[in-house]
Amino acid sequence: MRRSASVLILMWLGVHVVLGQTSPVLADSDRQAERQALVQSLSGVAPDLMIDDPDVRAAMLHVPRHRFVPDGLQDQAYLDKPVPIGHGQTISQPTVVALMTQLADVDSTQKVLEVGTGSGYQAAILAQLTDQVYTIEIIEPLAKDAVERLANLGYDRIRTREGDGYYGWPEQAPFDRILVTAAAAHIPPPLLEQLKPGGRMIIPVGPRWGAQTLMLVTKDQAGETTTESLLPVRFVPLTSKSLR
Amino acid sequence: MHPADAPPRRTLLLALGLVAAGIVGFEVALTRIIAIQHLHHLASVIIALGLLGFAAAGAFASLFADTIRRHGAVWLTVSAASFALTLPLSVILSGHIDMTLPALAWRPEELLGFGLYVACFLVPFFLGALFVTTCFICWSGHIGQLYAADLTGSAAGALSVPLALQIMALENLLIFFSLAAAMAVVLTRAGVRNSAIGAGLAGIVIAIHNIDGLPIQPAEYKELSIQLNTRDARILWERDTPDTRLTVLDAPGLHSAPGMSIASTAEAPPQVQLFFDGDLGAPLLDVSAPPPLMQSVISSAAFHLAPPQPTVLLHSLGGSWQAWVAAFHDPERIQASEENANLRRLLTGDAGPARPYLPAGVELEPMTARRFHAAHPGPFDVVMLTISAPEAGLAAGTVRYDTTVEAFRDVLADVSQGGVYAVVTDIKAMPQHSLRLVATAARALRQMGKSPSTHIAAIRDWRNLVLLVTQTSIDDDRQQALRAFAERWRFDLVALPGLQEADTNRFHHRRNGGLYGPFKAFIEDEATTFQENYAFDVQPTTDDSPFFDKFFRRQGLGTLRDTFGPTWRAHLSWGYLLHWAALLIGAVLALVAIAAPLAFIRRDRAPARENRVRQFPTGLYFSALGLGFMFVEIGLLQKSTLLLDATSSAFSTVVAAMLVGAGAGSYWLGRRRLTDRALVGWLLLPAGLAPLFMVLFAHGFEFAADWSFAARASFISAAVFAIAFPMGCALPQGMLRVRAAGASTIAWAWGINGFTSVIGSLAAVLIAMHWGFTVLMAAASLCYLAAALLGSQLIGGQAAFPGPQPLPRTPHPDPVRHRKQ
Ligand SMILES: C[S@@+](CC[C@H](N)C(=O)[O-])C[C@H]1O[C@@H](n2cnc3c(N)ncnc32)[C@H](O)[C@@H]1O
Repeated sequence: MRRSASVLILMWLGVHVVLGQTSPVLADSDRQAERQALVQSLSGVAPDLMIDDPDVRAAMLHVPRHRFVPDGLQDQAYLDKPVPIGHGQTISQPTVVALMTQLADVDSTQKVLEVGTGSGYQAAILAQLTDQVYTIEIIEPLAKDAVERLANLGYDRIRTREGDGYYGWPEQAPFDRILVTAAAAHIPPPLLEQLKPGGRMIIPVGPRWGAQTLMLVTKDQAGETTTESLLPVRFVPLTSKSLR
Repeated sequence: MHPADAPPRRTLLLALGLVAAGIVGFEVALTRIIAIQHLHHLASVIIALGLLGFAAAGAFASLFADTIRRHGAVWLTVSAASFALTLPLSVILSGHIDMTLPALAWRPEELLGFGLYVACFLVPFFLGALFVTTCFICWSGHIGQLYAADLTGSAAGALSVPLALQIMALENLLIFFSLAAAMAVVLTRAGVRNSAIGAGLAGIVIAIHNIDGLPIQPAEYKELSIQLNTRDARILWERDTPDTRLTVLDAPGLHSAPGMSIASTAEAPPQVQLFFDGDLGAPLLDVSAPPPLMQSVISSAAFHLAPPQPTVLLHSLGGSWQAWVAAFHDPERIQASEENANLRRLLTGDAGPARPYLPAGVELEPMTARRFHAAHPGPFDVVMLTISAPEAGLAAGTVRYDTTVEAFRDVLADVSQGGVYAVVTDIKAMPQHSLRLVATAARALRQMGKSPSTHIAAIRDWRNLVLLVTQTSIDDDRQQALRAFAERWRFDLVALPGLQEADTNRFHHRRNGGLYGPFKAFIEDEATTFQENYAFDVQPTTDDSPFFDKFFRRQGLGTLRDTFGPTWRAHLSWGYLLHWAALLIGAVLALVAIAAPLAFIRRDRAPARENRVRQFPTGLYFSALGLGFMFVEIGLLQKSTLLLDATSSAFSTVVAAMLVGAGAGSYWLGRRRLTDRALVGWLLLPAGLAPLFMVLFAHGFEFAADWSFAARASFISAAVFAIAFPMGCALPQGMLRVRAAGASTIAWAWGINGFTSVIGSLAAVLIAMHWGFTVLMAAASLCYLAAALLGSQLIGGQAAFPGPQPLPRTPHPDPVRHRKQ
């Protein structure tokens, strides 16, 4: 109880600091150099899993990741690490965000569902590629914060919802692409159902703190699904200074 | 206070017993604390390091021996009081150390947290041991009595944990240990001051309890902690048991359906989840009939190789998932082995949220898989074992008797003619468990004169694998049935008679070609070539070395680096390396702590040249005892896990019996100095018995498997007592021989014994991992042989007496000092 209260206070402070910072311009030049260095350093995890899509790299360059990281942990925003955002959750590691986005292969006509809004960072990246981004978060305070943060940063076309992403977003289905950013023990059938024939779904697999693998789920025109396990993409757990 | 060589008062012996009970009880309770906060697999390493505090007390006391002897009462009071306080404080502090233990492997930052975590527990061990050492220094002429009180108290402490955890939470038990130490303060010296200190301590400890200041909770990275963050998540029921903390959680977003097909359109059934030590969330289904989706679950494959209306036996039930899978297939009967009584009560609805989570009619058998097969011959049409595989080989030092070659043979002997043994596990980025399982099955089949290529099938998805081993060759009909099941639910076949590579890796594509090739190598007896080139050690395990999770292979490091590039370290088998690291740390500290006081002791004893010369055999003698004792203890403990079901009950039983045995031996054989010949005789006993015991335990299992727990525990205790009794005389006899060399020498010897015990406990596991328990016991024999040879060459023989008398003169005739050799 007391712990969650202090997290809330921290969040509140975080939001206010964000709000207090000048105008909600997207491409603010603030920390541009660090971002550039980070994006330059992102290579990939294997010869056939390189981060080489220019659109993805441009999106990563554009979105101010430090605005999605809690206040006390700003100095970690441009390291290739996941950063705690409270409630035992993290904003994903940049390499993972880049790879998932690239594997999703999104174009501007496509409708994309993200399960696990978290900080909203991945949704913001997706919003650089298409106007139709839908995102669901199960932890209430995180969902509320993300809504505010995204609005402040001017991402007003991203549609958000608080709820259990296992059931997808049936009212908006079907989707061309689905990104599940929370590790899943099985592939939720409702999400498979809401994936268009020819669609792609990306899911991280494996322990939160261990060797995670990305999995690509594809649905062919006949509606049959296959999976493909890709090489391990990350092995960085929560940073040791977690937010309590 | 000047206790001189007057015998210790009864109250002091009682105080010593209480502190000893607190120390060992805390040690055993720590296995639970570490398991809940972090990971139970690493508990032994952390405790071994924590026990260095014990050894450090000996080294420390050897430097201050004179002061301690002069101000014994003060030292006793202070050490007992600070032990009483630091015991709960260390646990409170440990809960605030922010570390992600499983990431220790690849995040050097975590080492700091790990170091701090260990340091927390070092402190109470140091203080408790300081009390014990002080007793030894002050009453050095009565070491037999002291040692007996120490060991008896320790045994009581060890036993108290599993007993108390049947009725109380772990937090409350710790409060009792702390109160025992507060009581020791009062008993140490009659007087107002000590009574007041004792009462004050008790007040503080009770206050900590009353404000709920001692919560033992899973670290933030554990699954339960994460789930508790979702809105409306709540714990429905929680229970500490001797081997795990069970928690039932209800939360939105619980959708576990292990092995459900991607072709299934059904949603995961309504459920709550069961956590073991805050991890391994397993679904407890809130259904009244088996949901139809069970037909699409990968473990259903077993039922396609079995006759209709099968008899089913389930092992390692965990939650209730596999029972519902079985119930879907119209079984004639379902039995399940489950050794945890509280879990059985939860599953049947007799405890917890009070609704049954099992399908109607499932019969729960209160025993482990191994004991079940030894005690109840089959046949069963489907036997199923589910294995949860921790990451990074963290369980490397944990014994597992249900996956050895012997276990496979035992189970297969109970499978009906048309039946199947199914082992469900998960697949890693680079497979480990699944390969060891097929290697083991293949070897067991060959030993039974059956061909693996006609008796093994395997099926997988992107995450799970089911190994299927049949009693008779898999004929065409059964092959067809399995193929149809795989096709219908989009699972990939990995092995089946006649399977071609083109038929594999279709629905769940793995970049390295699936598992077809490796499985084929093991099934077709090309295991050696495969193993030589593989990153992990996946050779079968046996009852002599049942370390199922030890995958580390030095020659495999290159392969790992080539395969995973920058992330290769995340795939290392870290549990194994951690044992080495701990051993190294222990060894370095031991060398320093053993060598440093030597300089001091030399100055102390300068006139007695004779003594200096004999410090080498003295050091060796006490080292051999430390190592030998732990080799025997760890060997017996890990071996008796087979008969006593869980490591926790084996731990308490064996440790208690060892302590009582050694305590009794120390009391009867340690009161007066034995002749050298008698000492050699007594030391040769454990040397001879240790290897014999391995044989006794192996055969004992066969006939004692269906005995009640009390009978099995008594059998093990009696055997352990028999070997521990002669072992118990070794330490006091050594002490009696060296005490003439000075109090600091006694403390020094005590310190050596402590350090080598720590090293011994870590080395024992490594020896058993590499060469098995037989070799470990042979090593224990060698240690006692060495002690037998060295026993007559210690300092403090006749030649030492011309030097100044280090111990206070005694008004009573002391049998030790005046005995002529
Ligand atoms: C690794 S974080 C995602 C990070 C996020 N995409 C970002 O860029 O900050 C995973 C998130 O998924 C959320 N989550 C977990 N299970 C969920 C579910 N069933 N439905 C919706 N969100 C879920 C967690 O609360 C968490 O915020």
